[in-house]
Amino acid sequence: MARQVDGPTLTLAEIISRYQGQKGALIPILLDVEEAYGYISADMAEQIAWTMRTSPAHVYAVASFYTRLRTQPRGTNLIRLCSGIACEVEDVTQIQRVIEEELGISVGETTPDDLFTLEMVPCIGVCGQSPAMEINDVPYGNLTPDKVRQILARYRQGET
Amino acid sequence: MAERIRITIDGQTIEVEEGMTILEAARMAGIYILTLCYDPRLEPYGGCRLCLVEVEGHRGLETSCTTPVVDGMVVRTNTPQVQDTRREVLELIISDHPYECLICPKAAEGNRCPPFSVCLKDTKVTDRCLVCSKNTRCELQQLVDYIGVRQERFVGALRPIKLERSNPFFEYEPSRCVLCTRCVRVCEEVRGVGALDVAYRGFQRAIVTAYEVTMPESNCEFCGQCVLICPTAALTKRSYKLLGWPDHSVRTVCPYCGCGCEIELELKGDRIVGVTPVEKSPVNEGCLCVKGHFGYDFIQSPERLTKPLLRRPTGSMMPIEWDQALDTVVENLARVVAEHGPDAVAVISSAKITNEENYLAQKFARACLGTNNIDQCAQLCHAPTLLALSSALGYGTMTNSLADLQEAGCILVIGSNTTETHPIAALKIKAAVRHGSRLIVVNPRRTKLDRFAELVLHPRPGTDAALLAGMMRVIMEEDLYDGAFLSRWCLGLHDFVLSLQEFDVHRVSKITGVPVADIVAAARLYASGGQDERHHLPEAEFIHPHPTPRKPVSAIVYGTGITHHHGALNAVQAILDLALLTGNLGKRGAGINPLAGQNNVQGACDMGALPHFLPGYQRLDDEEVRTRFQRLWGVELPTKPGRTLPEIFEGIRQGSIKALYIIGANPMLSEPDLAFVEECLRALDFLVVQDITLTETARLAHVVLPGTSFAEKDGTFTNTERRVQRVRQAIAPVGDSKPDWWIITELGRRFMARQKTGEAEETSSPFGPWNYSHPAAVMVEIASLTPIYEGIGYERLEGEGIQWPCTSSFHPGTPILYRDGLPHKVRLWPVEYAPLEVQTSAEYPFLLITGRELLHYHTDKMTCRSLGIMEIRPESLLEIHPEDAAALGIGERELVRVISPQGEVEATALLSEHSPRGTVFMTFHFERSPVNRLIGHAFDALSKSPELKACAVRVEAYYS
Ligand code: SF4
Ligand code: SF4
Ligand code: SF4
Ligand code: FES
Ligand code: FES
Repeated sequence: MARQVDGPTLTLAEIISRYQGQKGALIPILLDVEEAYGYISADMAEQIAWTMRTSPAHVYAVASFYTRLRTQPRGTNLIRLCSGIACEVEDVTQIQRVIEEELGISVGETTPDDLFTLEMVPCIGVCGQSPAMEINDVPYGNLTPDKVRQILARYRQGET
Repeated sequence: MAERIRITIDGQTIEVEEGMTILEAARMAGIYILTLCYDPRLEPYGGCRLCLVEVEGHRGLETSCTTPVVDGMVVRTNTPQVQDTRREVLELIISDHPYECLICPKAAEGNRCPPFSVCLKDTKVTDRCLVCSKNTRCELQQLVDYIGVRQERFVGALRPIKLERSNPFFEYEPSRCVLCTRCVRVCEEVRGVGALDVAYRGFQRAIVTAYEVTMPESNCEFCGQCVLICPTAALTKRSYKLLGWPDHSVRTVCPYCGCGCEIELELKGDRIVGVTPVEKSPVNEGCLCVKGHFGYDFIQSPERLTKPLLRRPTGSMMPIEWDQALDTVVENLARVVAEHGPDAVAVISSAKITNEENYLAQKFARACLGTNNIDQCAQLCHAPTLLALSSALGYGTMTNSLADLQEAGCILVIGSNTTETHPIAALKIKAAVRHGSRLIVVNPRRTKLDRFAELVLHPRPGTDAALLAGMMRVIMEEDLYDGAFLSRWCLGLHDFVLSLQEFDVHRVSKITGVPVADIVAAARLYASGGQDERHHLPEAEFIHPHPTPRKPVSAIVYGTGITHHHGALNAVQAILDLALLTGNLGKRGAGINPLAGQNNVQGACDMGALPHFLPGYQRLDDEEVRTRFQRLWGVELPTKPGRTLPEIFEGIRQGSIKALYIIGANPMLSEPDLAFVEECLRALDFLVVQDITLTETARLAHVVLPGTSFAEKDGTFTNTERRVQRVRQAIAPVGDSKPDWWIITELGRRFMARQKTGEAEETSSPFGPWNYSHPAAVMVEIASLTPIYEGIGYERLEGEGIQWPCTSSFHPGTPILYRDGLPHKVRLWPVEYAPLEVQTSAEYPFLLITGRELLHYHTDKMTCRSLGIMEIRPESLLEIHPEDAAALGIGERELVRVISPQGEVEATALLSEHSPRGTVFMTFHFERSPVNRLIGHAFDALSKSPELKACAVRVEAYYS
């Protein structure tokens, strides 16, 4: 799931040409772009809109509707903070505030240095240790503000 | 004709057309069904679920706005189940809306609180309707009152108040939004812009721009259509918030472009607070563009001239009284006529003033001064059209109507960036495409219309004639021409075919840079009226969502890209040939449609504000016509044809023209070669300028006469489709300014009185004395002297206007010319193509194209006074391809110098792939960078249209 480091496997033009002449190709194209680039940028949306003869706003609306599609670049480390019931009860909001303060971003955004992206997700299945989060698929439970700060610091120093 | 079927709604049996929805049928029968997301102009959507009805035999309820009627259907709109469900739906809709006032018991009694009343419920201010700008005009209030929702069962969180205030025209406040998506759909379906959409899902749903950028950063065109259609206060005009709601309005015509949209000028007292489109106007059908909707600050701008001005010998300007001003003008003009003869004076009229005023201006020149030296700036864009079309067909104008475009099978748009220059015409084109018309766009640059086009051709600038010739060659070779039409109406086929010999597609492709396949496809598509299936755009699922079969006819739309340069006449003739060859004249949905730039170009030409024609294109050398004019005006008419605009300036340079009367024109900005124009104006013996502000031209005048804007006078404009429409006075003239017709009448009267001193004899000719008390009287005179306007009078213009020719008071007007055949046989013009005279060189490597942009209008006199419009586009931009810019070390928004052999201007660089490499683009609206200073002096040899569109330049970074 980590970001492609070697660059995308297919260019946007290649992806689009794969669907040339097909009806209802918008969502498949968006899925392929997501796969190749990790997200759909405003420029890409504009190009896709142009070939499909629709508007960039429509492309954005479709992308924002599906949680699988991302409209912002993803950082090297993807933090997925759990917003499930158990974590909610254990005050995940406080944890969220700490992360947001630490990184200077809010949910859905990526730090300017491209290191972290913060997302809220439904239950990640470790309710016994709530509040919990995952960074690049590695779960961390029983979070406290201090613990979160330490974890973030470790990732800052290059742990992946 | 659709089948007629019978259905029963609430016990009432009605006969309706198949294909209608239940809602439409009910409305027809006068049965009210609640709706929120429905709008008759939009496609059925079915989102709000308020329009639920019970249909016998169907399980559950149906949304009546999306369910089509079926023969024998039985519908009930008001059963207990319907009532319950729709109450619940409405309660859900208002659950995240500020509802305190909506469900207040006071409202239940039928009286909503008036402003400033004290709230008994002690609720948060932001939860009240009372502080909302839509209060009492809100559709949501009406629905709640109708159903009588008086409690709030589902309390949802309000959307956070996040005002979108980034544009000067309107605001978006999400907490008032009910997500009916009318704004989204109108922006896409009616405007073809698609700036908005609904993002996210569930309770997060919100109306956003792409990537949630601010409106000015998005592709929004600020037409304000979304604001007009919003049922709540989610989208509101800022002017209503700042200046309050209007108390009355006056129906008149937009003063900007040749579309001629009808508007309601909204007033509060005598202050203009806003504008709305006239819904029922056949021209704009409830739409406007940003200029027409929001560009009205110029009317009551502090920069308006309020007193006549006289230049002191020291050079400064001094305010004077009207009497003195008028006498000074008359004295000086009479002196020049006496000393140097009548042809030493010229009048430049304007395509912005009314028909009546143009008529008076040319009458003043011809009857008082005794010269045919009268012209107007339409010369800059309309002359090639006038010349080519009127000599072949009789009238140099649009042959069909704007509404007609919607019936074309194929539309060829060439040399017109229609979305920017004629926004409402562009809407008709987009609507046509939605319903299945196929569009070909030919333009050197990418334009917004491209999105709707099946074929987009980018020929090199100035090669249109060659491209058209290539298409005609294909049409001849593949036998796609209309043989019957050709043999009935055309002459000179042999020479014409010979002239095509040079233009085989491969050579044309080399000249124009357009791929051979595209030329062939365009020819087939046009000639077949959009029926040709060999080429079609497979991805276009979004642009023709509802194709219906079209008639095999093709329309051509062209604009200043064709007429604004040297060689324009060749291109217009090629367009005419193309239409003749395929028989696309005199039919609905066909025709040749030149779009006139300014609001009254058509009218100014019709009124004879032209050096070669009397009103109604009557010829100066036609004895019978002359005698009529002489008898009715009671004067001798000059016989010598007058000078065109460029010739007038040439005459000033040579010293043969000594005095100039300019009405509402600003040649200091709009003529090519500005330094030359300024030198000329300074050299004049006497210059009088009549305008609403102190333009650069007015600053050079000896006397300045303050005219009024369109809002302060009565009259008529004629739009690009020949529709004569009524302009109505809404406010009193600002300060001491006077309507232009009054000023010209006064000048005429004083001039005649002066010439007649000594002779006591009263003139017996009916139109001899200059004593018009109202423009209506001028129209009577126009009608009696101008056959094409003969049936037109103010009493007939109360409705939607009349399209000329209208030859008697019973004649309904002529939406389509030549329906009963052409006036006579027409000679096909052998095609000629002359390469553009400007050639790029190592020193001047870029080809500069000039043009207009949507937000601004001609020279900037009007829109630069509009604070809102200046906020969005304050500077002149030079569009340049990113790779070219990179090579020159120029970054986005950096200041650059643009240098031509003629001069130099500054501009801000805008990197854009819309300009092909090697080509740069600039608009001609701003005082700060008068781009015409760059342009050469060559003009179209025959029609004298200056080479305004292109020149060779070099671009440099300003700080390097
Ligand atoms: S102003 Fe016009 S273009 Fe802009 S969002 Fe509204 S409808 Fe669309
Ligand atoms: S902004 Fe207005 S028109 Fe648009 S969805 Fe909201 S309520 Fe409807
Ligand atoms: S400028 Fe033209 S398109 Fe815009 S509102 Fe006025 S007449 Fe209509
Ligand atoms: S609720 Fe957070 S892990 Fe399940
Ligand atoms: S009006 Fe029918 S669903 Fe909204």
